[in-house]
Amino acid sequence: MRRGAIVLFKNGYCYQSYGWNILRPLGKLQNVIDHLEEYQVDEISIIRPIKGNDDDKSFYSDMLELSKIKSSTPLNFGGGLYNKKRVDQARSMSFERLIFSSILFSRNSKVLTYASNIIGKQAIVGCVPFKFNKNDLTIFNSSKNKFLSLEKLNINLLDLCDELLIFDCRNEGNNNTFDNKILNHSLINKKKIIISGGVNSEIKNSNFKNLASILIENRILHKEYSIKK
Amino acid sequence: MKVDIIDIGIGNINSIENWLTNSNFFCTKVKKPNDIRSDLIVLPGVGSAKLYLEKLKFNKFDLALKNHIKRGGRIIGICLGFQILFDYLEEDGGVQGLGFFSGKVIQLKSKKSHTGWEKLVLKKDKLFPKWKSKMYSVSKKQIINGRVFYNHNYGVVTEDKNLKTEMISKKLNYISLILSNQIIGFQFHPEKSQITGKNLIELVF
Repeated sequence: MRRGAIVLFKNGYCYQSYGWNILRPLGKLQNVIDHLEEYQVDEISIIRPIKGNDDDKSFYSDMLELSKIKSSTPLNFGGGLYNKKRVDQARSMSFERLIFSSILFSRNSKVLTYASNIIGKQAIVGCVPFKFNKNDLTIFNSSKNKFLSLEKLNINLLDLCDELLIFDCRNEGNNNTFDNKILNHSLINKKKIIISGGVNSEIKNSNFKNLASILIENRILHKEYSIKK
Repeated sequence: MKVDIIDIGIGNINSIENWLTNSNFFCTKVKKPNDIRSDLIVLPGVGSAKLYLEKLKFNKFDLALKNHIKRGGRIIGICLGFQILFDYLEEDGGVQGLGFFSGKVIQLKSKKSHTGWEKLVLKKDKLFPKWKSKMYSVSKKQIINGRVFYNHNYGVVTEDKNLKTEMISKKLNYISLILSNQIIGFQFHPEKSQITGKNLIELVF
């Protein structure tokens, strides 16, 4: 099992995030990546936290910053990969894998198929940010900025993804409170799974089926727990 | 030392450049065969086989690479850039490779990608003489013992017993690296293998 880190990146800066709505600035991405490389994390996922509108100006400005990054650690990137043009932009950069989220709600597979054809299926990661409302599983659609019922997700598109990043929105930033209930869900039991959102490095693969990786937020940089339950 | 990186618009070119310049190599991105100037060429990876080979052939790099070897030059192939050095690739319905080595590239038995880190031990005395030039030696390292990063769906198999190869692991019986007099190929990504990647390039030179 790989042990990686997840960092949020927007408008030239990195952020820690708590509970899906509190952001704390972390500074420049290169500094964050340099620190993470010192820890020899297995991979780093860089996510643009899109919640609703994401115009081209903001996307390409972030991509310009990302193009300057120097790293010898495997990088994954997601956030705003809605169309072929943006996929082309992202694949020309130093990312090993691309992460797709809101496009999994789409009725057609054009963008994902295109990405798979040009960078290979091994480089496609689906992202499912979730929270439970009582026992109902809801999935966050970042382009619409709202949680939708599971039925809205185009399950067929998951087959085009090599691995699935399951992100617990409610427990983001917490210490070891990831909601394990999701891992028994039929939605994900055939896939290689990456989990994030309330996970720490103490998680053992044997506790989870098909676990390929864990992505630790926040605490990778600062050993502090701002939110406790 | 100067290195030419083949740039056909596909692959992890910036990462390769970063990896090499960190060890004080002078890199040039080469978009046309006529611009090849160095003794050493790096073929980057990441992408799908059919598109990669189409672009390579469209830009006539296939012939240029063969001529480069004929002239005594050296090549390092990385991931997909390593796989295309063999005869045949099963990916995308099947494509012919460049045929520098006999062997084929087949889908991993598990039908799932191999994404992660594996151990790598390599001794300098395994390298062929052409890779041990005292003129360019950037390190006195004799052995590296570390971990390297893999991300692939297809693996290389060969029945040619004359080739000097290492396997990925006991469980994954596909070629991890190949050493020859003029060509070295890596299935893993040395440019994304942190300190081991840096040690590796310094050992190879």
